[in-house]
Amino acid sequence: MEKSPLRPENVSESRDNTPRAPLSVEADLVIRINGATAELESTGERLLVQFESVPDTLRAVQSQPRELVSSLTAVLQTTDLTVEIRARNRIVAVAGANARPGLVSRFIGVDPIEVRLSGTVGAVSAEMRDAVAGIFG
Amino acid sequence: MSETEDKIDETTTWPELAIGLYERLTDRGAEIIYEFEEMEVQVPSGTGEDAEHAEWHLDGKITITTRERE
Repeated sequence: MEKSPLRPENVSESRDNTPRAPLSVEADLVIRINGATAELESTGERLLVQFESVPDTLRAVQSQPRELVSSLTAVLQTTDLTVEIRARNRIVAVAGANARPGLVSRFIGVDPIEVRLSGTVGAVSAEMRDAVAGIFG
Repeated sequence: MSETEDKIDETTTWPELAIGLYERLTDRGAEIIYEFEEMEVQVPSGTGEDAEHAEWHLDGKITITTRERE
């Protein structure tokens, strides 16, 4: 398999995925990354990062160093935590313990992050619908 | 210095740091609460002088506790 630039270097293909340090997180946090605002909430094992728009999501994700993404993924797997990245109330990506990266993730080189195509398409559609409504409404 | 503190000092990766945190919290039955008030962090893209920085701004609270291993 092609080596992904985002796969943690200290996580081999055959590693034991048993979480060694399961944590629970409660969060009520507002994060702004390079001007893109997101709300971080949590249900204990699942952290929800809600961006206001698709461009905000892209701006925030693309500005992150790959080493940071790799390290974060390794920590999430070790601690049995999952991060859901949402835009326009749709899940566009999943990272960590419950992420299931597939062909799309490998094709665009974001493995081990799972890309949710249906959520991404839905979020982009909502973005375009609002843009059109803003122009003609 | 205790054995647990020794382990935390010896960590070299983020997962090891998380395991150290887990052991420390579990041993003490404790939780950690971080409260951020308009905190700004410059996250570098690398270690060189010409590294670019992503600007993170944090405001709010996060609480970390442990769960039992399954």
